[in-house]
Amino acid sequence: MRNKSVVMLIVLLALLSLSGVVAQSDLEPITLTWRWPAIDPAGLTDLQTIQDAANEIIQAEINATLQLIPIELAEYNTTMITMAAAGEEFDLAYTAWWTFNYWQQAALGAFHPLTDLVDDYAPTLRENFPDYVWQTLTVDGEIYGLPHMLKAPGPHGWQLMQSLVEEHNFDVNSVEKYEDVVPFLDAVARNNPEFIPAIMSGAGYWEAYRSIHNLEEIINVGIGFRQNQGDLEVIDLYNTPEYVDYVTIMREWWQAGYIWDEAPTSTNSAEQLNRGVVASLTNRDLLTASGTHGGQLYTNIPLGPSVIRPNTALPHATGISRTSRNPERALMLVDLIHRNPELLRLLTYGIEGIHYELNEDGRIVRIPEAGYNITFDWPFGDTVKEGYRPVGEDPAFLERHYEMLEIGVPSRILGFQLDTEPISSELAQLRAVNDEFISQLNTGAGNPETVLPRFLEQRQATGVANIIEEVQRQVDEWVAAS
Amino acid sequence: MDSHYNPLFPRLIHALFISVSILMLMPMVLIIAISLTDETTLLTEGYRFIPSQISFDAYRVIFEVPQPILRAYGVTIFRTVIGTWMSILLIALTAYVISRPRFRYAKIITVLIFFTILFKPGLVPSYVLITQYLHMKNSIWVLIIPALLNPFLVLVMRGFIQTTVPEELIDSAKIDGASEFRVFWQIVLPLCAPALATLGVLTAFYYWNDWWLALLYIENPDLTPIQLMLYRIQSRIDFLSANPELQLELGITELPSLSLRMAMVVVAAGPMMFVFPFFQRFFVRGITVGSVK
Repeated sequence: MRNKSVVMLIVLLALLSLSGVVAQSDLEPITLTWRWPAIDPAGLTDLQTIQDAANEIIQAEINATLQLIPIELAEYNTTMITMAAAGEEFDLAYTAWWTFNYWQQAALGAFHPLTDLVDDYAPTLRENFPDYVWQTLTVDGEIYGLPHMLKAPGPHGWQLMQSLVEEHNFDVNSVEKYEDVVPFLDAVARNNPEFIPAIMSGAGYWEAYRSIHNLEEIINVGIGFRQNQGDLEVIDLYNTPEYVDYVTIMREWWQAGYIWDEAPTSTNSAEQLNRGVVASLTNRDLLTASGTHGGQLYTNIPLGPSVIRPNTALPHATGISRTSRNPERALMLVDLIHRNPELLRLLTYGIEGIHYELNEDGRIVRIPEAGYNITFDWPFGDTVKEGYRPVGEDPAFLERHYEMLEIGVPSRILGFQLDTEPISSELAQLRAVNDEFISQLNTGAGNPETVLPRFLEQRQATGVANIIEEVQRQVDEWVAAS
Repeated sequence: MDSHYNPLFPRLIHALFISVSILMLMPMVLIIAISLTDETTLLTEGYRFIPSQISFDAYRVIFEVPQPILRAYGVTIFRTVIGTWMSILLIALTAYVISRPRFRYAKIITVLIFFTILFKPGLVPSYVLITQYLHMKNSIWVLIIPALLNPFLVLVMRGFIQTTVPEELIDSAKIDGASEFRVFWQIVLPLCAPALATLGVLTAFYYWNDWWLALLYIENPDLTPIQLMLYRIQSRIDFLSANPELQLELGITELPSLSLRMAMVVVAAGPMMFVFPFFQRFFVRGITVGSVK
C-alpha cells in the first residue's frame, strides 16, 4: 500500500514537471494552514501524501503551500476558540453553527473582514452562492467567512419502518396531517410488542410539529414567529393554540402506549434507533423517499414547508483568521478549490485508486483503512454534485436536492442576529423553567391540563414578556435597516 | 474490657479486605469482559462477566492498523521515561537547595513555590506563553517541560530531606572535603531513595495518564499520546450523543462500538498495571518512612 502511494506520487510529480508548470511569478511563495474538524486525526496516516499531491496543483496556480491540520471533532471548538482568543497565527479554519460558531467568532473579531476582497479574489464563490447565503454571512454589515456548500431545506416529517408499513398495509399517502399516523402506531402497539411505536427524546416531536405548522424559533427557549402570515410579530411559541394541540395529542399517545416510556428522561434516542427496534420517528431534512436507521429501511413522509433557516443557509463555512498574513492568498485558495474539481476531490476523498474508487455509476467508494478516510464530505468544498456522492446514497438525492433549493423559502429572519446581552439573566431563568416542564409536556408524560397552565404561569414569572419585547425591538430595527 | 484473642477476628478482617479488593477489581474485570464480548450480544444481553459469545473483533479492529497506536505508545513511553527522570532530578535539586537552612533565600523561594500552588494563571496566559514566546507547540517537549516541576512535590521532597538528612551529616561530609555536588549526589540522594521512588511513581503516573497538555498543544497526529487517543474516542462519543442532531447533519452513520472502546481501555491501561507492582515496594516504604520520622 505504501509502495503504491509512493509510485503514484512519483508519477504525479513526473507528469506535472513534464506538463511545464507555469508558476505565477508575481506571487511570493507562502504557506497557508487549514484547520478542520476530523474524526481520529491520528488515523489519517497518508495526510502528507495528500498534502504533497494537493500542493502540486496549488503551487502551480497560486504559488502557495497548503498545510492541512485536522483537529479532533469534539475538541475543535475549544481548540479554535483558545487559538482565536490568544491571537495565535493561523490562516484558514472551518467554522459553522455547531462548532467554532461563525456568528459569535465574527462578532468577537476572530476573522478577517472579507467584504471588499471576495469580488477580486474569489469571483467563483461570489457567483456560485445565492444572495441569501451572503446575507446570512453578514455580521454588522461585514462578511467574515466564505460559504462552501449549499444545503437543501428538507421538510420535517415522519419516518415509518418499511417492513411494518407493509405488514400492516398502512397507506402512507393517507398521511396529510401530523396525527394521521395514529392507525399505524396503533397497529404496531397492538401487534408488535418488540418494537417501540414512536421514539423520541425528552424534547419530543415539538420541533417537527411547530415547523409543519409554520412556527419558527428565533431563540431556542420557545420565542419565535409565524413564518406564513402577517407582520413579523415575536410570539411565545408555548403560548399558542398549536402547542395546546400538540401536548394534547402527545398525552393521548402516551396514554395509549405509543411513546417510548423512557422518553421523558432521555436526551438521545440514537441507541434504540441503532438497534433497529423503532417503528417510527419524526425527523427533519427529509429529501428522499426513504432513509435508514440501524440497518432498517424507513419510508419518509415529508409534511412541512421547506424553510431556509440560518443553519440551512450556512451549513458549513470557512473563516480566514484576523492573524493571517496572507488573507488574499487564502481567498484565492478557496476559490481555486471551487474551480478545480480535481483538487476538491483530492482533499475530500484522497487519491483515486488508493483512498477511494469511482464505481461505474460515478459514485465514490471510500477504502476504509487506506490512510485517508476523513469520514465527512463537507470540510473543503461543495461535494453535493455529480461525481462526488458516496455509494449507497439514494440515487434520487441529488435531483431532490436541486428541486428543494428551488422550492425553499428563506426564513423571514434570515440574516438577523439576536443580541442576547440585554436579556441574558431572563434567558437563564427561562431555560431553567423550560428544563423543568418541557420533557413532561413534550412527551405526554405529564397531564397538560394541570402542567401546561403551571408552565405558562412560571414562564410569565421569569419575565418572558420582557424577552419578547426586546427581541421584537431588535427584529423591528433589523427590518427597518434592511 | 479485657482483650481476648478471638480466632474469628483476623478472618473477619480478611473477609472484609478480600471483599473490598473484589469490589475494586470487578470494574476492571468487567471492562475486559466487555471488550471480549460480541457487539450484538452486548446489545441484546447487556454487560456480563462471562460473555455468552466471545469475540476478539474489537482487538482485531485496533490492531488491524496498528501504526497510530504503536506510535502513540512510543510517544507516551518516551515522555514518561524522559519526563520522570528529568522531573525527579529537578525536584530533588530544587528541594535540596531550599531545604538548606544556610541558604539565605530559602524561605522566600519556598513561599514563591507555595504561591504557585494557590494561584494559577489560567488557560489563556499559559497558552500564549507556550505557543507565542516559547514556540513549543507541536514539539514533543511540550508534553514534558510544563509538568517538570510540580510545586507540591517539591515541598513534599523538601520536608522529606529536612526530616531524614541531618544537617550534621552534610557538615561532616564537607569537613571530609566533599563539594556541594558530591554531597548532593553521594550523601543526600541515596538517603532519599524511598522518597524518590514515590515521586517517581507519582510523576510517571502523571506523564502516563495526562492528555491535557497534548490536547492543548499538539496538532501533529504523530505526537499524540495514547491517553489522548483514548480520551478522544470517549469525548467524540459524548459529543455526538449530547448533540444527536449532528449525527444526521454531519453524516456520521455509526459510532465506535462499546467493545471497541473497552478494548482501547485495556490496551492503554495494560502496561501500567504491570509496572506498578514493581514500584509498589518503594512506594509503600516511601510513605511510611516519610511519615514516621
